[in-house]
Amino acid sequence: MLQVREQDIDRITELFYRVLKGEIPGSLSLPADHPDNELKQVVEYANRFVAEYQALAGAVASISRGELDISVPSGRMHVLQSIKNLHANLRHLTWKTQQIANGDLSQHVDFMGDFSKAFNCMTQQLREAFAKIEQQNKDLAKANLRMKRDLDAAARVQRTLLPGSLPQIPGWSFAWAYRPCDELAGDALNIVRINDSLIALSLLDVSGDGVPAALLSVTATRSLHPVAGGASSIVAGPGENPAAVAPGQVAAKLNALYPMASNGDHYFTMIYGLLDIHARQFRFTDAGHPGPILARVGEKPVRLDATGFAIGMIADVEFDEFVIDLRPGDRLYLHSDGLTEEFNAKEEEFGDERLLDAIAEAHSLELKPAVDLLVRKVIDWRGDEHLKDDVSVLAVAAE
Amino acid sequence: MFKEERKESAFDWTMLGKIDLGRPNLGFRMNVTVYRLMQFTLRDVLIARFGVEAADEVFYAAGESAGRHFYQNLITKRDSFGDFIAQLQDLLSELGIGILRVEKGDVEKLTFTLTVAEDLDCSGLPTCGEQICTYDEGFIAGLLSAHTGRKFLVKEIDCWCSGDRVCRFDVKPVG
Repeated sequence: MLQVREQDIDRITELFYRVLKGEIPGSLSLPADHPDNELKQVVEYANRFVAEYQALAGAVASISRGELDISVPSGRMHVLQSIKNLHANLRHLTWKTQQIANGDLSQHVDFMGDFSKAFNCMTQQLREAFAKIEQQNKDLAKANLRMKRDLDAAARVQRTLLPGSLPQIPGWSFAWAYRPCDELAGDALNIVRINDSLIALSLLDVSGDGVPAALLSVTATRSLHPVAGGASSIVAGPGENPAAVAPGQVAAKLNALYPMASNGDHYFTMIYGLLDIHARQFRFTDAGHPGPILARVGEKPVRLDATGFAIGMIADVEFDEFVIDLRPGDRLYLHSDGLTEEFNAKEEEFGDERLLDAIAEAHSLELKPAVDLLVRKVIDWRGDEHLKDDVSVLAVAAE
Repeated sequence: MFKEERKESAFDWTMLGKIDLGRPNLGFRMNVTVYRLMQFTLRDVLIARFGVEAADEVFYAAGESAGRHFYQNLITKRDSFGDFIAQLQDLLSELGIGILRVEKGDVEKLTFTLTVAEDLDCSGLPTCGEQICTYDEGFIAGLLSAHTGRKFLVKEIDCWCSGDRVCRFDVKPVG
C-alpha cells in the first residue's frame, strides 16, 4: 500500500492551484532517495505538464502581441498543436499580405474557413478596385493628353500674336522677351507700325491665370491691332497712312469693351504708347501697370511715375497720357510685374532696385541681349526655370 | 524505355502515358492508401536492402527529379516568384498532394519556411518522432531549382510523424 504524506498531496494541489490562479509555479521536487513509486510518477507528470503549459503560455502571449517570429514548442497536447497551427497560419497570412502589399493581387487563401472567404473577397475587391483605378487613370491620361494638345494649340495661336519681325527703322532698335509660366499666358506684348511716324508699343497683363486669362489676353491684343485693308480700328483711323488714336482714348475704348463683370472678373493692366520716330517722343497711357523704366547713358535708370486704373475695373474713367522725350542712347523698358515680383528661396522679392541695377548693368549690351539678361537674372533669383508668373519685357532704344 | 540500364536519369514526362486514353473509366482517380502502399513498401525494401541513409538519398533524388519535371510540364506562371507560388499552391491542392503555405520567405536571399498540410505522404501516419517526408524535401528542392536556376537544400523540420499537424520545411540555396 502506497503511503503518501499529506504535505506532498498539498504541494501537488498547490501547483495546480497556482497554475489556475494565473501564477507561474516552480517545479516540484522530491528527495534524491525518494523511492521510484506512483508519487514520483505523479510529480514527474505534474512537472512536465507545467513546463509544457508554461512554454505554451509564453508562445500564446507572444502571438497575442503579434510577435510571430517565434518558435512554438512541439508537443502532443492538442492545444499545443492547435496553437502551432494558428501560428503557422498567421505567418502564412503575413506572407500573403506582404505579397499583396508588393502589388501581387493574385494571392488567395484556402482552407481557412470563413477567413479564406473574407480574405479572398478582399483581394477580389482590391483587384476590381485597382482595375477600376487603372482604367480611370487611362481615361484621365487620355483626357490630359487631349487637354494638353488643346493647350499647346492655343499657345501656338497666342504666340502668333507676338511681334513677328521687328520694325527696321534707322536710329531705333526694338527687342522683346516673353516667357509664359504655363502653356497659356495672361501677358501679351506687341510692336505695331501705325503710320510713317508712329510705332505702337503695347504690353498687357491679365489678372489671374489659365485659359480665361489667356482668352482675354488674346482678344485684347487683337483689339490693339490695326485692321487690315485700311479700315479704322480702336488704335487707328482709316486709310493707308492712318492717324493714330491717342493712347488715352485707346485705353478708354478697351475699358468700355472689356468690363471685368463681363469677363469672369478678369481685368488687365496695360501700357500702351505711340513712339514718334521723328519727334523722338513716346506718348503713352498707363492702366494700372508698372511704369516704364527709362535708362540713360551715365544715369541710374528710373521708373517713370505714371498711374491709372486697370482696364475693365471701373467704367467711364479717363486715362491720362504721359510724354517722354527720348535722346540718343536712351532705352525705354516696358515689363510685366512678373519681372519684379519673383521670390527666391529665402522668400525675398527680386524687386525694383535689383531690376534697375540689372538694367544699368545691361546698358552696355546690345538691346536684345540686354532684355534677355533681365529675364535670366530673375530666373537665377528664383533658382528655377519654371517661374511663378508670366514675364514679358519690351524695350526700345534710341540710337 | 522503362527498364534500360542507366547511369543518368532518363525519365521523361511522356513515360507517365496517356492516362485518359488508358483509363477511360477510372481516369485519374486513385486512393491515397494505394499511393502510400507503394511508397512505404518501396521504402521498406530499400531500407532492408541498402539501409536508411541510402533509402533517403533515393527518395530525395527521385523527389528532386519529380519537382523539376513537375515545374517544366505543369507550371506556366513563371514571371515572378509570387505567380509561381500561387500556381503551385493551386496545383498541389487540385492534385490532392497537399496544402502548401509559405510561412516565411525572403525572395532576395531565396530562404523560405514552407508548410504542407494534409500531406499525401504523411498526414495521419502514426506519430513516431521521425521526419519522414524525404520525397517532399527533394520535390520542393527540384521545383525551386527549376524556377530559380539555383540548387537548394530542403530539410523537413516538423512532420506529422514527429507530432506536428503540418510538415514544415526549411529551404535555403546552396552554392
